[in-house]
Amino acid sequence: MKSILTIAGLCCLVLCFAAIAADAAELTTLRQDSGKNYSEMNFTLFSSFETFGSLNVGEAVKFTAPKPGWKLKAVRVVGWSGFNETTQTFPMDRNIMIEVRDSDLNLLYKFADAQNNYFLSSKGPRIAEFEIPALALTGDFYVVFYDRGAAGIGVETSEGTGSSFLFIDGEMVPPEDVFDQNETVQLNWLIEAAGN
Amino acid sequence: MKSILFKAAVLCLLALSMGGISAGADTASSENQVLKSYEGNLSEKQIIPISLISLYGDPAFFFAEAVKFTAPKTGWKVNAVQFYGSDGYNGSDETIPVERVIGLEIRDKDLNLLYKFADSQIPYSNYVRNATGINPITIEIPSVSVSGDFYVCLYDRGAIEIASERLNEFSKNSFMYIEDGMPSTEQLLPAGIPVNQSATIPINWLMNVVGS
Repeated sequence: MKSILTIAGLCCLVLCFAAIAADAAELTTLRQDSGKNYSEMNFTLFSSFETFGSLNVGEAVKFTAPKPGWKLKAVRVVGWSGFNETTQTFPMDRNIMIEVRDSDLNLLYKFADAQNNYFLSSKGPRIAEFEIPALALTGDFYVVFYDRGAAGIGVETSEGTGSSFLFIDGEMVPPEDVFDQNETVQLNWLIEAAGN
Repeated sequence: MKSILFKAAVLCLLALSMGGISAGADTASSENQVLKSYEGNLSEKQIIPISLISLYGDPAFFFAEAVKFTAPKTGWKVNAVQFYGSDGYNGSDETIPVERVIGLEIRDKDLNLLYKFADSQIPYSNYVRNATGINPITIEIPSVSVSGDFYVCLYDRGAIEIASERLNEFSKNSFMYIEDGMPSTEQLLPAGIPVNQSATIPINWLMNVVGS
């Protein structure tokens, strides 16, 4: 019975990914991870809040707009707010937040909302889409996700592209400066930027 | 000066709402205009409070009460949205509402997102004013420029019951907006209360938009 549920869950996940891929046909999707299909990717969940005990540390990814004035229309984050199998309940609403910042870290867009409206799933991580009023971007820009302990973000811990940071006290800090100064940390936050 | 006029308009709107709005109250000040989703006097209407969560369950986290308005001129600026609702507080400690997050969007005629806002329902709804029953809920927004038809979408998420009125036939301006990615072929469905598999009662969301 459990295996049937697992298979059904996997099918559902595949369908979700397929649906999102179909949506993405109209938009260009930027990624700064290994580029693998999520269903084949080896990733874990991470929470800055649980790691650092701070609500103000964000997981950030640097992107480059494909052309001047490229319009960012959606941000997608792979993550999960959790599900209690024993009580069959979802967690209480708590807020997460996203920001878009330009290459000089100036704030361009900010939005906070309850995590369950994006990450609600009884089957594990999902791709949450945050629709954004079209935001014209040129050159490098950053998308910052603040998990605030409400929803863990997917993270690849190999094949790091060097585009993932922690946004702490107004600075983009490379993960190796935080986690281990003696080794290069291979880390990619699973965040996408979509636009046209 | 503009800010004072705007505040005066919102206060005027609130006062009108509390006392019953007259059908012709479309101009709140010399600059601001009020667009209404309904005709007639609110105090004479039989108001039906509805939460989409209570009608459709968890999927309705991604459904919104939506009203189509038409901007009076090109580049008209939306400054506030007002709807009517209740957070369930009836004066007893047992009904003090649990804090939840509601969402508000403004979309153009093609449903492109122009503005999005989410916040706790508490600062806006009746409990914070120690009021009970249906009350006006006003959300000020940064000026959003709209032209032609545009939509205001409200995600009640079970935090607030939204006031509606019963109609004899489906409204051409009141809808249920289904978020992109949900399994629905249509993003806008006529606003209604499903009675059974084949019958739906048409309704109209009671909403105002203030702009200039």
